[in-house]
Amino acid sequence: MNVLRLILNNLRRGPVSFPLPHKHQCTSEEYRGLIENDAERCIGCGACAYACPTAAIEVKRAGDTYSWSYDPGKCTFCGACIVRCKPATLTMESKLPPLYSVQGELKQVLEMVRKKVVRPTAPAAAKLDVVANATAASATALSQPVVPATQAENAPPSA
Amino acid sequence: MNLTGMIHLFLFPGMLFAIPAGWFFVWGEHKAVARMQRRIGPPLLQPFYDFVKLTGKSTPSRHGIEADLLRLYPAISVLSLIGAIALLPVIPDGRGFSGDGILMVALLELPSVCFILAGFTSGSIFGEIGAIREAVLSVANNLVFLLAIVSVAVTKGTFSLSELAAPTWNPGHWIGVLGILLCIPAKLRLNPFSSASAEQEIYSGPLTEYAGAALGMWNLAHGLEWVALTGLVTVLVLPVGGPWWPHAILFVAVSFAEVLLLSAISAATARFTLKRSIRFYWEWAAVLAVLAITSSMYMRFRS
Repeated sequence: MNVLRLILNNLRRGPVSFPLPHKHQCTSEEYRGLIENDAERCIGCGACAYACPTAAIEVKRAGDTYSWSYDPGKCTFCGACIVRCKPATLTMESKLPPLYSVQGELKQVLEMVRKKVVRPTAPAAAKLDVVANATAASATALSQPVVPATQAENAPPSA
Repeated sequence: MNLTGMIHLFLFPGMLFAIPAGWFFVWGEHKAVARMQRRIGPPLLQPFYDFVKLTGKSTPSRHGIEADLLRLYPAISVLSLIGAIALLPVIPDGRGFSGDGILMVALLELPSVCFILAGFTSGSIFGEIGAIREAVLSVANNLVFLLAIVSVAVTKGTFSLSELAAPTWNPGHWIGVLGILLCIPAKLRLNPFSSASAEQEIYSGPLTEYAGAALGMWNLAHGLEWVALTGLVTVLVLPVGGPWWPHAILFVAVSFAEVLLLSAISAATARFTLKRSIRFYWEWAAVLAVLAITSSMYMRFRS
């Protein structure tokens, strides 16, 4: 009789699933929605297109201009493009993607002028030098033979 | 066939009523089970959409006699069920003939035979296993089903459906109706007697190799089975008389109540093994059927 009680409770409490389409628009905090590109900051390097496993992102260059296109119908929302994007211009929307009925209906194309890649400035280069020096020092230390502490204390003082 | 017969076959309770009613009952079952499992369930027109979608699908081509047979079986099932539904004395007007009850039992059994043959013809191992299970279940539940029908017939001394439709206070009649009701889950392949189309074990059993329009026809036949079997119980329990339209509305309402009851049983139970299903029908339900027929015969000889 437990199962009958369960069925009655289920009927009383109503369904837990969401009706379609578009009745509930709640997503979790780190939901992976559509890719958004900040056209102001995009440098057109094409790393996102290179990283995309399904070729949902395409970057086509023509002289100083380039077009950045994104087809959500092909996207698997893996986020590989976002990981590869150095200027961090790509983000993922936190809302549910809209429904569509025709393949390529949601495809978006951005025509942009290619910007020059910003080289590291002087302080940044100095910082890189410090890191390089530290790396060299640690490499030298690693090349030294390792002597146990007790053995080093008992060893006779060298002349 | 006279005009009344044509109306019964093509309009009510035949084709024009039975096909939408079949979709409605299938929707009712899916929706009720979904709600009992805290799901939303399909929209009202989903079985109709499924039928249209399946009808328009292109399917892998088969050649030879197998292909023709596999198309023929669902068509026979649909036609025999429409015939069975047309025989139901929903509006008792004395138009039946003195053996239409037997014809109805035969027409109700034909889809099950076609289902078994489809499984063997398909050449699929899952189809063959499903066909064997359906055959064994059919033998198991038909013992009770036939005894129950006979017990109802004995109370009136006839197999004419229009005379059987008037319920009496004879306990044999009501125990017989209960016996028929017990057989419906097995005939509709509902839980706990769904081993013939156990999707987690043998995909769809005999329908595994079906697709497109032929599968749509099988789904339609399933809906018509709902109408025919629940309708049979309904005409046996509803009082006779009065104007036709309240009677028709009451017929649909009581049939739908049976759909909800059977859906609740389906949602509340797990699938029986074949052996357990046979034991249920031949040990427990058979006792009820024998009780029904004994009671009917006793009351008949007493009166």
